[in-house]
Amino acid sequence: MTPSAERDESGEAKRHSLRPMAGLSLSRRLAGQAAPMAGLLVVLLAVLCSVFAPLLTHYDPLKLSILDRLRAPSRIHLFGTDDFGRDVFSLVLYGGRASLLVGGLVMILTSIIGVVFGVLAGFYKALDNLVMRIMDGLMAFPAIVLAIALMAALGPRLSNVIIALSIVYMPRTARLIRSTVVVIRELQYVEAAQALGAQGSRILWRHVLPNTVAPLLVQATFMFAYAVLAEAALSFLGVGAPPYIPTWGNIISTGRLYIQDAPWIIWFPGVAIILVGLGLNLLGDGLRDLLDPRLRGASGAS
Amino acid sequence: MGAYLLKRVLSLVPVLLVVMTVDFLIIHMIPGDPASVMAGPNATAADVAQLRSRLNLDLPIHVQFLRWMGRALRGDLGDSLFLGRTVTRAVWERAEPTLLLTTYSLLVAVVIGMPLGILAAVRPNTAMDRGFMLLAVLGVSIPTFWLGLIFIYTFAVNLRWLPAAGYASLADGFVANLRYLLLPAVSLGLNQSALVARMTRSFMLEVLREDYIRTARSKGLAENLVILRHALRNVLVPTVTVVGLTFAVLLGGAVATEIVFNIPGAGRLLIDSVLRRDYPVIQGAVLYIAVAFVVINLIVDMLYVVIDPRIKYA
Repeated sequence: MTPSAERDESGEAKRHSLRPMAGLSLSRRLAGQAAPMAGLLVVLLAVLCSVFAPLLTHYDPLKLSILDRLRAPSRIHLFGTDDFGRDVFSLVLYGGRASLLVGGLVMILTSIIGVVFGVLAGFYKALDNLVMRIMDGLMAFPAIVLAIALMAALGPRLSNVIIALSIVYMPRTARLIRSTVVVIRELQYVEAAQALGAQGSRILWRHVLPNTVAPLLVQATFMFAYAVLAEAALSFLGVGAPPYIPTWGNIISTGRLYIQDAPWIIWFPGVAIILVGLGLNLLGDGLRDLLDPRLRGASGAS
Repeated sequence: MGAYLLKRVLSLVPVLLVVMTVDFLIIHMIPGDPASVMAGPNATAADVAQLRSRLNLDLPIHVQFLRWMGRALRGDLGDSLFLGRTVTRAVWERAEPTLLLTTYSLLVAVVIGMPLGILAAVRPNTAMDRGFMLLAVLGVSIPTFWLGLIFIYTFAVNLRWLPAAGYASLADGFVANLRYLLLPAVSLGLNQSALVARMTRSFMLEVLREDYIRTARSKGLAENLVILRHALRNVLVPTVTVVGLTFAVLLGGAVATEIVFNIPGAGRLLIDSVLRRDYPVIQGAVLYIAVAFVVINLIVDMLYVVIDPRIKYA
């Protein structure tokens, strides 16, 4: 129990210890575990459902049909209809496209930018203080509040949601990568490489970066989950994706006005968010347990 | 302790500098001409010009920055474009509901999360442990605003136990205040109780492996007493830091909860201001929320030193 030293939002950065990814055996070891595999399946299923939405429903999610408004779930409309008579099943499927796109792209962008800043800070001592103080500053805002402020400036567009959430969540990845790089930089084999006359860039690419892959993989999974939840919150608040794009948050946002007469409008997109979040969290936890021998001790038979 | 305190406070200077710079830049990230965006689509050229000079947007950016910083440090964040009062006043008027909501939610998170985490750790790898932890993963995956809507549907609309929306100030009495904030606080806090449970469990597992626990057990102390007297106390220490982190997340989460339950707090002010393009209030509300977060974390760090006698900072 060290005082405050290494805390981050999940408090778990410290645990991502360094261990080179054990190559292909990772996927094999993951396959043996029920919970993470179930999580992966749920996420893949959600992605497939939204990609192949046109094959799963013949309703146009944006087609208004006032005569059919606020119909309860039935065989004609599996998830019922909303106040404009739009089919909620189609809305949820197509809404997944925007929500998962935001989640996936934010995951990729935070990983790339986070690694760049993390390596800059961790590998080049001259930059460490400057970069990390900026990251600390960005993390001093509650995430959703900073995202709201950025959206207020940039304007309500789906691309801006991706930009805003990437800026908000990137520092967490940068901080994790920095702490990983700082430890690796001091390891004996890196010193040996230096002694043999290896150049900084070679050490970086051959020895340091490969070791950041494992913790990055775990972090990226959680970033995806954060981003899906944050996108839903922004859209719900009316400061995310514009109302004409169906996203899970937008569907809930319109549905809340009819909660008394048509609760199914908010039920189904909410369940979609929960399932994807649950899937990603189970997958992330599973990956972390596999990649971090220290933590395995904590949850395994001790 | 005094020296540590000073060091810790000084370390906040760069953080606050970055926070204020980012907050200042919000207006300048508006694509195109910030003044005409703020004035709205129906404004005349004269309106836009007037707004531009009123907000100093016609000055060079470094002059704007220094002026804004100088004023902000004195608590002057300008005037709202719509509310006819200073930003500071507008935010403070909305502070009570947000602070109370966040505090109640924190209590919910701790009261539910800690016992679950401890119970899970005491019997690791049993069905109960796995069940609690699965519940915790589920908990962090539920959007708080959605849970709030479900609560409204269940407890306000159907069962009619509590009001669906609105707010009564603490000045109207504690019970009235609680009636309005109970559903919001539970819907907001439940999510974080999952985090508290997970962290408490992992701290507890760590503590249970310590030598003094083995000593206590080997001298024949009943397991309940080992947990209550020796383990629990040591788990409280790291848990305090989790509470600080939780507070920050709750402060952010309060925004959506205030919208769901129509609570006139700082978060609602923030969203209303975004929809009205009242940028000075957006800047002000964001800055106050960030500063509140920084101060809370400072307090938590201080508390940490106070409750753990082993930590001595020279």
